[in-house]
Amino acid sequence: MKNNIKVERAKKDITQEQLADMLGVTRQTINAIEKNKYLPSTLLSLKMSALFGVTVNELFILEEGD
Amino acid sequence: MKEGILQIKLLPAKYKKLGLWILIAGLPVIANMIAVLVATGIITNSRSFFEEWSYPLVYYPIIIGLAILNFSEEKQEDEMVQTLRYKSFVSGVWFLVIGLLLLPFYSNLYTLLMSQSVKMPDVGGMLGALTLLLVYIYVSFKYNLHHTRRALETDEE
Repeated sequence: MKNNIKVERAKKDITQEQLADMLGVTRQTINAIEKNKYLPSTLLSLKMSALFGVTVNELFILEEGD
Repeated sequence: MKEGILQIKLLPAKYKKLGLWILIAGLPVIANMIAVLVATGIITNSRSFFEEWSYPLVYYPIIIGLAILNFSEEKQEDEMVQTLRYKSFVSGVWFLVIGLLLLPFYSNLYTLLMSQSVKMPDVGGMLGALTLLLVYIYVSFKYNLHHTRRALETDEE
């Protein structure tokens, strides 16, 4: 699964640390999600999409084999 | 969102220090306590006490310390930390099962290679504890699954 979190973060000009604080998680978690090392829960994905003002489908993109 | 049944809350992060202290200082404290008990004559037959108790007593501070460390939250606890902890617990139980089942084989490896008589190591207690753990995991999982499914059936429209 790919994700556009880094892109959306850049659009809003916020750091991983700031995003982590807004979502109530650690910076390491945001880093792991961006690098596809950790798949976030539905709740965290929804919070993230609401924060960026995009749909979950725009934020996370399924790849072949997922 | 409603929490599932049999939810055990982890200890707050500050307990990690306590766990670490018990792990480090527990053994010397117990050794000193025993020395005091022997010196004051509360333990009369010290020889039999040491033969029966000294070996298992070593494990108490280690197990209590490690249990507190394992069941305490991290300073920054979030869903990724919880997922990693869950994975560690699952792999830990898995390696425990494999390790304990293979214990009689690798403890007898030398005697087997030397064609000497093979002795079964004293693992009865450990196997009993492992059985209880596995029974609990199975029963707890099935109980939770059954209740969740039943709740979903009644909610179905």
